[in-house]
Amino acid sequence: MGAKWQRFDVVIPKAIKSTKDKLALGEHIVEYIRQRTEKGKDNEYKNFPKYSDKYEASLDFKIGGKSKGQRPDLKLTGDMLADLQVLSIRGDKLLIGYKNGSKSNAKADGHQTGWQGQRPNAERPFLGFEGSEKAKLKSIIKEHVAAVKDDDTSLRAYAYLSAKDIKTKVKPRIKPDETLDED
Amino acid sequence: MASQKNKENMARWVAKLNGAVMDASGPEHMKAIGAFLIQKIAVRTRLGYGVKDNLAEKSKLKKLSNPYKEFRKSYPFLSDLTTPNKSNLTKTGSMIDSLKVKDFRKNAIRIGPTGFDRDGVSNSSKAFWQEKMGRVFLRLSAQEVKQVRIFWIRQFSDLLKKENLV
Repeated sequence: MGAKWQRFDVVIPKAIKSTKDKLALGEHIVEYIRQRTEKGKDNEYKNFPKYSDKYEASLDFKIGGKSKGQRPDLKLTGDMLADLQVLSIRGDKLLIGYKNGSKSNAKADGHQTGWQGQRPNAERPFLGFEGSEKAKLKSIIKEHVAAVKDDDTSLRAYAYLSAKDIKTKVKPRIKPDETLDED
Repeated sequence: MASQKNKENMARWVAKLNGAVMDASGPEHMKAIGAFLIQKIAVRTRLGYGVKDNLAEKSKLKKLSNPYKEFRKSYPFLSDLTTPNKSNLTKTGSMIDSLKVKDFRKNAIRIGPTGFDRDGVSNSSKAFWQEKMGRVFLRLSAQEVKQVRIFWIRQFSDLLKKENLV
């Protein structure tokens, strides 16, 4: 069975009107989920189930620089959390998640569903807001509504930076027999 | 009067913001970004993935040849971050461990292999040879670039908080 498309909706309050402000809210939510996941917390702010003994004994675990007994952070390479994004803004709805069919979507689906039930002990739902976390989502939204009302640009700063297309030039430069220490 | 005060406050805020922007591109933060990048490249490569072009998706590194696998089985200094059959550009580990930030200026960070391995071969020659053999690893995937961006924004965000700008 293929991976399900992993995404969730957030209803935007009417007070937030401009696309930029809606995006700012979306980026704030995305970053909150990234940081919550890195702390080892699921979408109810409960601890993720521990890594299996088999995974802790694996070469990948060692290469990833992880230590035994550490709280899972769903971050071996970091690619999956980096790919979490605001997918669209349509009217009063933000769609947050992964591009359908992407590798990161497949990985996220694995964590969300415990690899579709095949590894129930490794089910680590990290997307969205459930249980006590619903209040957290409300507070993030409330913060943005207040910022828009007060015309407070500071809350938007992070989102504008996130959305900005930072051009990264990467020039490969490897020469044979070159001891870079000496140049 | 109030308007004059507002203008002064705004000017102070802008000056602080400019200072934070300068700091975020300063040596301390550039070094931190470089170290972050090296760690990303090292982990990805040792997991067995290369990146053929900048911003491309990572892909599995070309497999090792059978005679080389045999050689690795009896090689006494094989790193514990690999196995005889694993293609992850790690034999003793010296080449990947030697990656360093060589330079940072004009908003650029230069990262490269440095020094020599236990047999006196320069690590940059080894990296060059591996690229020639199709195992390209000193590039950044689109996801890695995204991660650098997130890293930088977090640093910048911390600076803004430190300066009481947010």
